[in-house]
Amino acid sequence: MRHFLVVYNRREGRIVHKHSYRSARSALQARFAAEREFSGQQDIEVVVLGGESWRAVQRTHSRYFSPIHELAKVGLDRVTVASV
Amino acid sequence: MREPELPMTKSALDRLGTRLAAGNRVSNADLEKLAAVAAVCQRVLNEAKAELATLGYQATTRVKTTGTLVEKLRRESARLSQVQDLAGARIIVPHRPAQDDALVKIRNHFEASGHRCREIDRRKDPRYGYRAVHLVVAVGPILIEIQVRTELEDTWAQIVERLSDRWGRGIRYGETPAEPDAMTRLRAGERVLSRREALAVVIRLSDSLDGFELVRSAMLLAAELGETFRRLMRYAAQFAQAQDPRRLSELPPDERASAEMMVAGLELAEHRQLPGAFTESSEVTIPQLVGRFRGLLDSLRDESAVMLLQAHNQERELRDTLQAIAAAADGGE
Repeated sequence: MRHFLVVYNRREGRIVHKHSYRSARSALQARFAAEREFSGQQDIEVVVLGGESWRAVQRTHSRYFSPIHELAKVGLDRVTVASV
Repeated sequence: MREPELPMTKSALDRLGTRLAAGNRVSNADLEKLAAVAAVCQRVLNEAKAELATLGYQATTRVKTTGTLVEKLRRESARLSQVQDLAGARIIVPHRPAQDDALVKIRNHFEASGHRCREIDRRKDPRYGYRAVHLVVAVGPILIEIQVRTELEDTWAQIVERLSDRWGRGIRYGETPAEPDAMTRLRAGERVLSRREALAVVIRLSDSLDGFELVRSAMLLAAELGETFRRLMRYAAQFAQAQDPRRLSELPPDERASAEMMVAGLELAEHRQLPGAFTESSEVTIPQLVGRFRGLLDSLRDESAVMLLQAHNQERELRDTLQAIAAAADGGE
């Protein structure tokens, strides 16, 4: 399992910094350091996501990684009765 | 799972929550305290993730961000010790039947090891369009919220999260978007929609997705039953060919086993509340049994055809809305 630090600018819809850590402790230290650094900036969200890979966290927390039109396209692929 | 210890008393934790909710900026001292709590939550989440992996689920985890925690403490006047999603895990499954299976498995697993579980079913009781099922597991003083979402529920939730980054976080709780009359790039036919109108489309999308999930579940169930029945048809054909007039009670044990498999199939249909429901009676004759069985297969085929039509109609409607969102630039703005 790895821990992924994501610093995300909500208004701009983009990740301003990301880093992968093996240790949860290091990732959390980096999270709170980033929170201090960006303190008072309302548009900045700092989060640590735990998962097997970047791919795994991109799947479950896609809003940090994909704009709405891409999310909708993924949704389109998921709306199918063909697989039934 | 090991019972964790909080780095402070419950009342100290609640006092920390009160200070977080009250201040404009979080002090460094309080950020340190929150970091210590987050470390305990993360340890519990790591263990929960490992437990979920033994059940075949690849979860991801997150300890609630400081910003969203402060928002929640203010919005709900909640006590920090009672916030149930401070430690969160998320699982995404393909569809509704897989979601139901996951919930039973996960709940049984944690309850068997002595952890209290509470299920919050937001499929029946959506919050401003948000649908999912949350299982809140108590691990000593720490509550873990395991979100179990279908792929479509997740798509919807991610779209709304992303929208809320631009239109105001409050839209997730029923508030009007910021600048509600501002035009978006989302169109309904030729007409360009305002934020307020676009949000209404997105909320309706959640209802359509839910309807689609339900029809698709029924179809999956019919397909599963159909498969079972196709196997059992072999036995029905054998009995029909022999034009056997005997009752179940008159069959020798080896033949009875085959007939009982058909009975089990019919009872399964009864359990699923399908037409052609059947209750076992040893007085039923083989021709009666075969007749009922064939009748059930026919009705299953008819129902599947109706469901397929319904699903295709819903699919078309959903695709139109999602295509309109996909065609608009990010945020539909």
